[in-house]
Amino acid sequence: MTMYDLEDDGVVVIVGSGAGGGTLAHELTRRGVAVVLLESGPHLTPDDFVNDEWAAHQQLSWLDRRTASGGWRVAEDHPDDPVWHCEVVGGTTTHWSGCCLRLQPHEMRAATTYGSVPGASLIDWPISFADLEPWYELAETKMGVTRTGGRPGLPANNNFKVMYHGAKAIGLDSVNTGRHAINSEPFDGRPATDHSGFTVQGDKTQSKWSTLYVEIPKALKTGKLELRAQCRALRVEHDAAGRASGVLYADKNGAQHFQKARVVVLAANCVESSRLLLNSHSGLFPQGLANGWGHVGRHYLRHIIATVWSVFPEPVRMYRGETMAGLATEMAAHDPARGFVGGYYIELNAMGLPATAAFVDPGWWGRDFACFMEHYAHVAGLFITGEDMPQPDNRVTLDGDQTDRFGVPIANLHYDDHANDVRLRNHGYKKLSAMHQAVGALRTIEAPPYPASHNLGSNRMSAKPEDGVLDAHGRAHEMANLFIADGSQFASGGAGNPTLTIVALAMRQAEYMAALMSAGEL
Amino acid sequence: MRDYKASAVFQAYKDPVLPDEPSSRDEATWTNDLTAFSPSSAETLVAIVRTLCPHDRVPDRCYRGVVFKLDAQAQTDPTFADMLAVGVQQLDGLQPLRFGELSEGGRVAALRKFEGSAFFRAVQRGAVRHLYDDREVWELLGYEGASHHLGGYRTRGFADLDWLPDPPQSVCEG
Repeated sequence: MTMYDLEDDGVVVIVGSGAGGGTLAHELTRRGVAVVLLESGPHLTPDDFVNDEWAAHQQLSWLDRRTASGGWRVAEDHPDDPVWHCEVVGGTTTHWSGCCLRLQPHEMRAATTYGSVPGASLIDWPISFADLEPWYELAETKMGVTRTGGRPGLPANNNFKVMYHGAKAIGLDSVNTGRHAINSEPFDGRPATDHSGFTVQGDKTQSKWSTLYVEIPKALKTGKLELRAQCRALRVEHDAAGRASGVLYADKNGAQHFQKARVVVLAANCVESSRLLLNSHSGLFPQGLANGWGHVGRHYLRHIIATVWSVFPEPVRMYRGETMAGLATEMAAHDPARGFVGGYYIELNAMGLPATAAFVDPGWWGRDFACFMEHYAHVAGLFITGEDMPQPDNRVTLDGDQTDRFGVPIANLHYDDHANDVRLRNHGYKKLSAMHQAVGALRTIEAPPYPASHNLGSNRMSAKPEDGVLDAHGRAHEMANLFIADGSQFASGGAGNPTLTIVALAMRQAEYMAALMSAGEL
Repeated sequence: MRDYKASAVFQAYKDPVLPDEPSSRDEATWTNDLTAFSPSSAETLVAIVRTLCPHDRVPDRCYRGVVFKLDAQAQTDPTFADMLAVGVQQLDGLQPLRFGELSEGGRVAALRKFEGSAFFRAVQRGAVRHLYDDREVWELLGYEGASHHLGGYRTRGFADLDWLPDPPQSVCEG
């Protein structure tokens, strides 16, 4: 592996190796750009992954403490870990379930389409769906998304059979096994899925796309990438002219180093990217970097995530097969007659026994709870991911009093449901319940929201600098050589799983950056 | 609600890399291997966990396994250890009988008095976290656990549900 000197100010430094950072690293290096990729977590391999929900959670997750405040149920159930994402090379692409959905054109014009929603800080994206569409095609090809490019869909598993009949019974004819970056047949040198049901714990077969074993190895082959694992970024520094000069980070022994940079890209997942910007405050930028208008950390989005579990008279064995291989799209349309703006996708969902017990209803105990658990093999699951409203005070801030082991203030995540969120979630619960009831469910349980893996919006793109943090290429309005490549860029959340959009944006951003660099403009 | 049907029982597996459960859980002297809890506190904790998650078919050794895990946590966290010791003492002191001697209804009523306390929350979360992570409990409740080492479910029934018609090809492989 190429090694760059700390004093080499010609490199692009990327913080975070997930869907955004890992993809960007590959797309830049294959264009000849020198990249140092800093990743806070360790460099595991699929052989290290464990088919065990709790062991995998410990292995893959960002475990440093955050605090939670606000009226959301997660603050009550998970006050010390309100956010769930990964801390390993590959980031959350090691854990994700592989669902690949594009934003819908109207979702990128959220403010124009939805109109005035009191309390919501809606804006339109500074780019259109037409701008992104060619990049979606490239991303789908890169990732091998099923039902695109002639690739067959995933087969039906037990849980999907229940979903299929429930969907058809209530008129959701779009239902199919969905669009996934999980191989239904061999692709890109990786095998088809073995239907182990443990993709969310890290795919040991590598049938699911992940930057860990797809993008990063390809980037390393170019000879232009240096990957530094177990390196925790602490601050982004700048020069007297207000340009990013490099990244201060701590290595696995806690020793601090400063890597100079020509360009800095943050892709540390929502909370950490905002936290880094805020923690990088200086005399010139007392509110933190890229934060002149006060938007860093704000408008945090997490999607409306809701799950139902239903008990059926006969066994289901939902833990077998690909966890989320089921999709119905009718509810994703914007239909204000329903009483809310935005929409939601209906997807398949399953959990193993340990996670089902922990998340079905935290705090539930006694005979009724045990009876439900006794019927675990008869349980089927369904899920919605829907659009939540941006609100300025749903935000990442730095806790004044508490610091982590590096002396960086820990993050607080504040979130209150908007009335639109409540109405959308309510509609979703009823729809999912109706699906299962139509197929003979004996009992349906609406699980409360849990820490999301969809974390978006806290460093959003905006057409006007006063409305956000980044421009139409994810470049900071206030710092020409500072970019962001993770989901914190999103100007609105849309309804669907965000990874495909993050990858498409990173591919587009790489082309833009490389062109500017070639022209001496970056 | 129908009674749980003894359908086909499938063996459950922990991932081969994970350690086995402590073997002393079956013995009358099991409390000797605990370091944070006294034998009497440990027995009360077993009764608490069984009341929180009452599975008549699940043997005592699985509930003792939970107490082993709580003991391990208490060893590294003195605040947690104290909270449990005090909570157990208060619970045992509620009635003229110790907690474990009460009928199920009596135990449920006693625990209800503690709902909302940090002690209750810690033990209830710990019970769920550890009991449903036990391989034997998995087998009894119908979860098969780790599967990659057996080739996943590609040839082991990922689509063997037979009480509904198969969906058409067009919505699957297409």
